[in-house]
Amino acid sequence: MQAGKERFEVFDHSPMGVFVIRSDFVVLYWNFCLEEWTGIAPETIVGQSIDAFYPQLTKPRYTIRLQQIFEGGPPVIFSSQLHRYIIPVPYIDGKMRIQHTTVSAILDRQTNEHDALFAIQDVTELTFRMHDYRAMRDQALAEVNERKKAEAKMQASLHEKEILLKEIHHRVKNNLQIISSLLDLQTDHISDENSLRFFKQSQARIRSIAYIHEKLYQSEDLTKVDFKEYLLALSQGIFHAFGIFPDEIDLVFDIQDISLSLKAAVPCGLILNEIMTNSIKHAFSGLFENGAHEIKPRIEISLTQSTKKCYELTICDNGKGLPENFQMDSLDTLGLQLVNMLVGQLKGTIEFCNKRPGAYFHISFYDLG
Amino acid sequence: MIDLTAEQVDALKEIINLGVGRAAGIMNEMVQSHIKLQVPFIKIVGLRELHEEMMTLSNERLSIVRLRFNGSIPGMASLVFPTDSVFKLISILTEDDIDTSDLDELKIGTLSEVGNIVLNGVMGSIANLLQQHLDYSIPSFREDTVDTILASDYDDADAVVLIARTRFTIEELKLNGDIILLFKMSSFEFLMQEIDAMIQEPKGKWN
Repeated sequence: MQAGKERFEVFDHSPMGVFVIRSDFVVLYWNFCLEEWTGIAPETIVGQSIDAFYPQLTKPRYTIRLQQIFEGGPPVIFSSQLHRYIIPVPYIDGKMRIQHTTVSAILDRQTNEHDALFAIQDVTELTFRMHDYRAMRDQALAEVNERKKAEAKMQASLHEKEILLKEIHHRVKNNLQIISSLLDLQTDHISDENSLRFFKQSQARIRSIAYIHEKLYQSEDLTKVDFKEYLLALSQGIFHAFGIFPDEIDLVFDIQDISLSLKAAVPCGLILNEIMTNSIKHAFSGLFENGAHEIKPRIEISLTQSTKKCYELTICDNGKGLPENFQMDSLDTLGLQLVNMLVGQLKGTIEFCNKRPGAYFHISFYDLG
Repeated sequence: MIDLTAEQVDALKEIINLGVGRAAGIMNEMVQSHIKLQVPFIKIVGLRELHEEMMTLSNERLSIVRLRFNGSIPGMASLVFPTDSVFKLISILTEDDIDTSDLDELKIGTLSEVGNIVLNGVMGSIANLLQQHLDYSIPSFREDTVDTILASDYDDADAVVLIARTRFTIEELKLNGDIILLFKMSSFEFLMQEIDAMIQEPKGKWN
């Protein structure tokens, strides 16, 4: 056995636990590191069968693989996850030292037999840290999953609310249409021209609001109205209400792709309704009849964004122009009084004048919705 | 390239199946589930085919356990795991849930042992056939892309490699997966001579 000591004594300086056994499982060498871990001195164990100290090593789980080593075969690995330890050694807090072991065949030149050299790496700290890391990672992943679930729930709830909002806009539009139709029915029993005009104007105003709700439930964004689309629909609606065919009056649009909030869109739509109606009713009467004028009646509408929340709406025609001494604040017609009030509601300003030819209205307003 | 006859393929497959069968026996000793390892086919191929074969496992990263050997016929035996097989095998062996997050030191240790068991099983059969003494290095592990693995381990353009596709099945858990065994040898001639001798003497050392 002294020969074994000399053959392997270089392993006394190794930080790994190293021991060597013969094919009959007799211990040939036991290094200092193992003595420190186990408290078993080399003098006690060398020359004895390992079975007397660590009987599990002679179980088939190990012997089946060690057999190849004694035949000079390739090294064998006993990993820490699958075996925990080869040599049970207490660590701290009643835990055992976790080990990763590699066994290699070492040729004894005197006997021409192969011995098994066990090199045991202590991976206890590494394992604990890895477990801590895994626990931390699992916790982080669980939190991420929780967050994802909450987000998905929120998305679902948002989607539900969007559907609900669409439904509300749809119903508001339908109700406004019903009111408009009721007014229409009522007009059948009105013979007084003035009253009839008031009914028609009210109908047009209601329709201008109904279009807003229609555009809202048709749009992706339930808080904004695509104003270009809205203006096209509204102006066609006004023409239809007055029985005007598209080729009778040219409608010229210069409208940027602008979306307005519901808060700004309703007054803005009503303003447009009043001014356009005003033009249709007054601007062209008697002017273009019987080919008296070479130029075709025209209404121009432009809407541009000047700053982040400020917009410019211009409506002009090529008609007779505004009456002399025309004043917005002393108007006695409801339509233009309404325009004045709505501009105030939009925190805007209105300018008007006569261009040669025709009336010109310019409104600057804010969308603070 | 070596063209193998049907008989040679059968004989080689038998030898390798014997080796993986032994490896499966060892694994079954270690775990509760019954693991079956089978080699559905073997081929001797050049680098291009090897690349194609490895890409069928994964076009991303692969785990590989390598065992170099020296002696009269130097070479290297490798076991290649695609990622999904890696996590399945680890969960079976450690009886933990399948954890696909990452390959840490502990899992690498486990995989190295699985590779070690399978490679040793097959090397045992081959060394037995060759009747040659071989010196082995300590098995090593790496994880890399197919291209990087081939560039470093099979850098010789004329390299000839024996591929054994291996399928593991655990019927109770309805789990299966593929791994690939690779053998690179300085010469396959000696191996083939022994195979031929075995074919001619069927009642010889294999029965």
